[in-house]
Amino acid sequence: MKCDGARLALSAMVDGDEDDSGGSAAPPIEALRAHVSGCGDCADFEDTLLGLRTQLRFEAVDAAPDVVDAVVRRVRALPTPPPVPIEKRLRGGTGRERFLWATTALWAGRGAISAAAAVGFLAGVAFVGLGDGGTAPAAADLPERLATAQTAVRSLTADIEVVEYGRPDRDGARQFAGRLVYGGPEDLHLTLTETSRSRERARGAGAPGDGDVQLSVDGDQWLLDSVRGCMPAPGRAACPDGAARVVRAVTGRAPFSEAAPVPLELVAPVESFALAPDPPSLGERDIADRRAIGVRATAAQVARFLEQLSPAGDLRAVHPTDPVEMWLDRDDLVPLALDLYAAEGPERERWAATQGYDDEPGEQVLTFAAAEVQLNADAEADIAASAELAAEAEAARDDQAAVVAGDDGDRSNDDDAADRTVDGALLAAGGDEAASPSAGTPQQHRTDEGFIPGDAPLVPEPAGRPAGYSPARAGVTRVPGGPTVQVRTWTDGRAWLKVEATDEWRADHLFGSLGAAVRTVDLDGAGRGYLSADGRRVAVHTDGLDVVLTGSLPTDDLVDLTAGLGLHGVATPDGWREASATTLSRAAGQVPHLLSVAADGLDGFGLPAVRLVPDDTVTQVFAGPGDRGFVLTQRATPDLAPPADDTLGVEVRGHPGRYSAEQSLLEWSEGGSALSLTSPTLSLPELLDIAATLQPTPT
Amino acid sequence: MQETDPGLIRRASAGDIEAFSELVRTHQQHVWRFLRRLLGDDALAEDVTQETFVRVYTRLDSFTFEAKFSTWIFQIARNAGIDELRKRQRQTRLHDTLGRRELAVLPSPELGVELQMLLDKLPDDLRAALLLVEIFGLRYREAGEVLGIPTGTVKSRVHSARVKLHEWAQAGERQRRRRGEPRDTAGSGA
Repeated sequence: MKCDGARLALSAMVDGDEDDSGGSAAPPIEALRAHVSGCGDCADFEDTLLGLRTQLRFEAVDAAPDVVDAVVRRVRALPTPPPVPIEKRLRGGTGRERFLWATTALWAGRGAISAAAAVGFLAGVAFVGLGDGGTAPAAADLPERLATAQTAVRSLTADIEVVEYGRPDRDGARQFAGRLVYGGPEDLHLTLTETSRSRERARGAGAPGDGDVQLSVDGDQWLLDSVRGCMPAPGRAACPDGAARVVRAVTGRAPFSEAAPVPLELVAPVESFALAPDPPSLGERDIADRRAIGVRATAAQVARFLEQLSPAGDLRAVHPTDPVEMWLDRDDLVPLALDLYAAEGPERERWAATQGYDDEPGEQVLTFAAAEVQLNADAEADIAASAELAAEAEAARDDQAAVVAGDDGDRSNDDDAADRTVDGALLAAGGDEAASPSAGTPQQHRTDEGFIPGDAPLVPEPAGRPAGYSPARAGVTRVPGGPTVQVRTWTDGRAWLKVEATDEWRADHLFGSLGAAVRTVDLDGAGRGYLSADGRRVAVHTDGLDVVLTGSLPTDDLVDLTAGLGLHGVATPDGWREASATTLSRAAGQVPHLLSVAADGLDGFGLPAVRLVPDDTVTQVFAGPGDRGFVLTQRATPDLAPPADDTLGVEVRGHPGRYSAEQSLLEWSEGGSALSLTSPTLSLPELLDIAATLQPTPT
Repeated sequence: MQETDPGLIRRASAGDIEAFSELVRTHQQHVWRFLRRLLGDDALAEDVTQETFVRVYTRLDSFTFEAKFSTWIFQIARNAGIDELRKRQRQTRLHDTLGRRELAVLPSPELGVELQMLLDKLPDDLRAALLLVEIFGLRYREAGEVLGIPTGTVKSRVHSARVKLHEWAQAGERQRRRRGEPRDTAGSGA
């Protein structure tokens, strides 16, 4: 036996793979042993093999690092993919297949990209396939299910906890404990009080208890009592006036007033998922003794929920692309938990730096959790209990303010803290005169919206109103200098519907606060209607009457209900703002090579509101769930405006283009036109994906 | 290594972070041990271990249950390790060009400096094959699946790696004797 063969056999023998070597047959073991015992070099080689085995396989490893937390943070920081395929024609595959297709298409369409853009782009594009996505039963048809489930929520009570991280004015997190008591879409009480431990961590400009809030809504009365501090920010090292208690009271509140809103998203996040396709699923788990389904979204999508979690607007800011994991009761779709993490990418990093935050990608930024959830229990008892809790919170806040202000603790002028009427609260605050903003002496703001309950004969009742919707508040709103508006409302659980009408409308735009971008809709024999870009309002202009319909129902339902009002809508006068509203086919006749999305729309967004302005500029406004949305603008000239300072070169649809993160603006020239996509809530990769789907509009 | 529960893999693939965390917990030590020897640096191995599992997460949907899950993870770990080695080689070439040497990665003292230095001298493909067989006891066929090479090639590479290590160790021993230094008693003299 030669040494080469012996050593090869020794290798295989040590590995126990003599019979699986795929090579020539191994020598008999006796022959091998005989050779090794007589060959010093081969014996040394065998010692090497055994020593190597000892050192490598059996080495003592004291502390292998635990990378679980770091990996989970990185995974959570991966950008949330577009919730569905970019194009509807992909529907039919699994969410992951469509999503991988979209990713592949994205890369296949890429040509030369500038190095800087590539770095930013690559940092952002690590799309994560999230399993079954839309085919996961738990998350399937969530928008439709939410629209239905909201009617079943008659009452809700829950203890809630909110924690925000990364505030420079807190050594650690700021933590609130509170209670939510809901008795109907205009009957809700919410308290959030900073915990004692969190108060101890207040540093610098942060004052203990700043951010405490109490919101009480009871029909036509609305009260927001909050302690407002401010976040230290670049150029502002401290709050000039310290923390101030602010009481804002609204009387004569109009039904479903947007100036004095009710945080209904905390009861059922309807707006967060309206227009959204089925979200990526996180599976199921138990939370607060209830079976919950988890879904992924972005901060932009659940923006309404986050705003309503902070009625005083004092929680820290979050970036629109920050990934969110939301857990809803599987059966009733009531929010049970939410975790928001810092997204990864240069845009987010830049934003955080300007805001004064020090978030690492994947770190938790904000959490919400509900406990002791009672659904459809005895609402009256809960509301009384909530009033008691509110009183306790009020007393605790006053005590804390007294400590801060050096108050001697005289409480002789305090109100009866159990009296939660608006006037009672204002009395407690020391009358309705504005006071200096020192801790404990509140600023007071009192508004009367002028609503008077009663009949509203001008308001037609929509035929085809869903079964279960009962009449709620109705009456008239009179505001000095404004038109008299009559209103009728209907509710079913948390769901609500409102119709307003006036015969005194004199402005040069549609009645009903639809905004500048509207879409004309055919009311199926009832003439023309106008739909707001977010799909939440439908207005009708007739000869002598202007009407607007809004509610928590899906857009198509709102349009159908408007068609059932018994009116015949006509076009707005030429001088009105909405005169520039048009359809894509008409706009395509004016602007050559007009690009838009496919005829049946873009998943995750409504149909566009299209405007054509005199210089042959066409704007298309697309709205998605929450704050997600974008504007596509096309001008009949290839010239782009001067670039912003932070412009990066990117390739868009095979053409040279540019992107400014500051302006959230993607621009390029194509076919003799200057095009742009702008969105404060979508990332560059998402805008590029949308650009890739654009196609010529048929005239 | 014990085979991973398919249900856990499916739940992780569906986006269940808890299930995915359990997968990481189960396999992280093996991955790290492999990478620390492949890369010769504990801290770098930890970074690449993280990268490995992030890649695992993004590719979970592509796991078809036809191979063992551990084999599949090792494939990803090995590729991540090779990517890191190539990046280091590019940096070394760049810095050699620029006349800078700061980026040289020194082996961690805990690894047995001499053994790690010898492992570092091995070509990447030999080292990877050796480590999979030595540390994890993978059969040649399994290692071949990880590396994407035939079984016979695995055997050949493992043996070649051992022969080189033996020769270098012997040469080192001869040098020490010539210089009158004490014999290296760490392990076998490798």
